[in-house]
Amino acid sequence: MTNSTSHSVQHSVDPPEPDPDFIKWLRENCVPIGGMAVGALMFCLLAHYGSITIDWIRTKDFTDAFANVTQSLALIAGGVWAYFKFAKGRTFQDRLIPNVSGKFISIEGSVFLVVRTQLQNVGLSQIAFDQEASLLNVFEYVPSEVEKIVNVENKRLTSLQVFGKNDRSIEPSEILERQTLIALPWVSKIGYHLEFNVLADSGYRWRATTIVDRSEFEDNDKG
Amino acid sequence: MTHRNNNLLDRFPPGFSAHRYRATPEEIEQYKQWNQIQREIQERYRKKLIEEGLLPPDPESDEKRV
Repeated sequence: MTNSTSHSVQHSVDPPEPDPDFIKWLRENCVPIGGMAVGALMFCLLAHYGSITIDWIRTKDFTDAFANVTQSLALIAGGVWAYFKFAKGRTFQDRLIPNVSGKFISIEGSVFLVVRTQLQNVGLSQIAFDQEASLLNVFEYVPSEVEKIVNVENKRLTSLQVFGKNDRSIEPSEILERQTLIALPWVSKIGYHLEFNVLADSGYRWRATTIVDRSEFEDNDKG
Repeated sequence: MTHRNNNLLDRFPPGFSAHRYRATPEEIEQYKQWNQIQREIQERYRKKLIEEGLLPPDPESDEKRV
């Protein structure tokens, strides 16, 4: 009995629960209340610091120094980008892929070598040729008995001009393909070595090689 | 007909380019000499074919010869 009395007394001492209507009102108007509080805070700050005089000369010096540093960093970054883009990336340098292939053909007892030369400009610059010095060199392998492992020696038979009068230059992404028919007075016992040399007016040279071996001629005869 | 020696450009990956190097003046001169020798051989062969009647005479080159 006594316990129940003390319990009822404690309940009466507890603070009353908040009014749900007030909380609802606060929730609905929190935005304007918050705005007013921020405005009041800004007003207080302006009132407090409004009397301070700003040294505009020092401010200008500081902003100028900041601008200079920013410009210098931007210049360095631009230089590094340009170096990697154009120098390391070889964007505007002369870049070519030369290619050469050959095959025998036999017609009525005469043997011919059909040589196909291809040239692709994979750079972004137009490349002008030195037509006189851009040649297809034809070498013949010299057979010999050997006792050790050696490279088979060859001798140059002829050098043919690849580009015609109108083939002055090659544009970026352009592919230039020419075919040449060479009459052979005899067929080498081993085969031929073809070397396609391209010389640009800029003084750079590119080279592609291939071997046209005798077995191709025999395959051709069978076919 | 075999195609073993056909090195097609498709074999190369994008961005690939062949190695290049500076040609020496002697190298360029020798190549021009070789070209000149072969052109003379070719011209003699052409004249022979014209004489044999296998090729029609070239009017421009005839004027140059005169």
